[in-house]
Amino acid sequence: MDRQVRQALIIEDYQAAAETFKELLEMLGCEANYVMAGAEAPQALSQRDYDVVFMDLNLPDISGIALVKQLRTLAAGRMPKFVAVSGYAEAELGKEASDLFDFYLEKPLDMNNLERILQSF
Amino acid sequence: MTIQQQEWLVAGIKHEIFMRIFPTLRHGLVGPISIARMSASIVRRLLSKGESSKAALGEPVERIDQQLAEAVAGIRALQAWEPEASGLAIPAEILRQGIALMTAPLALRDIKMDYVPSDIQDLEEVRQQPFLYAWLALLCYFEDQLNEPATLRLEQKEPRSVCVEVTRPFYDVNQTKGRAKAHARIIDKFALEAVANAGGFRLKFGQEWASFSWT
Repeated sequence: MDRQVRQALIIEDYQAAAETFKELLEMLGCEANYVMAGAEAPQALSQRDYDVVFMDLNLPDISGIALVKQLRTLAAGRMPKFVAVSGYAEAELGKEASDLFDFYLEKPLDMNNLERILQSF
Repeated sequence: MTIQQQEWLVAGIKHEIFMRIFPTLRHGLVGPISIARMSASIVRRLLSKGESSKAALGEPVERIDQQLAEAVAGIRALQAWEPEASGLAIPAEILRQGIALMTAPLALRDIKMDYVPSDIQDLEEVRQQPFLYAWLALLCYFEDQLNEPATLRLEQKEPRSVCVEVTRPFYDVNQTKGRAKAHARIIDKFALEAVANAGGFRLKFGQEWASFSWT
């Protein structure tokens, strides 16, 4: 991909985390937005061509697994990369979760891992 | 079974319950640390750009402080799980705590919880730990009994009692999909009753429901 600026969507119910993550992504050269509920994500995704979606798996209104299935169906055209963000270890989330996401980012976020993900597509 | 055997049995079941909610407890502690760490990365990047003004650094540094304070409060709250813990809390608070702890493990098994707010004011405090273990045992019981997507309707229909009722979707597109791997150690009726009886709680079972009562 040639585009320099990544369009990033953050789905995170905890506002302090969403805002800090947005700030961090912007420092890394992304244009970032966030929504704080799974229910808001489909509309957000339909409004912009996002390159990457960072999704907290522990949302109050829908499980991350159900949401990523829904978003993959909606993003029928250009598919963003879906990154699971969680305080749980990847193995704890099960194979289905691993298969549905392109990347996994464990909290506390490691900057090197985050930059590696952003550079990998 | 001797009293000592009975105590070991209950301790083993409680251990299994604790292991199920342990990732959620850990997740709760990781949240503020994660924000603090992101904020530290922001500070580091600002400093590397020669930006060291109070206006630029004040907010992320303040955020680090707040989040570390929150992490410390979370670590201190772990005391409630120590064997000698004798803290008291009102039942509604403990019910909500159990729901929060079980939301993620149940979601991984396509089980949702619907907590129906109650008008019943049950303000008399109870011992938190035995109540919480018995309540968690009941939720774990449903986790292990259900083998397809469902919603647990949780409702305090009468004072000092909460009812858990299973409702199933008419149609779910995921029904044919394989579910998360079952636990090796099952919380069955026997295990649930052992934990509830040890805490002095009563259980009633119906076709698709169970209720949990305290005195």
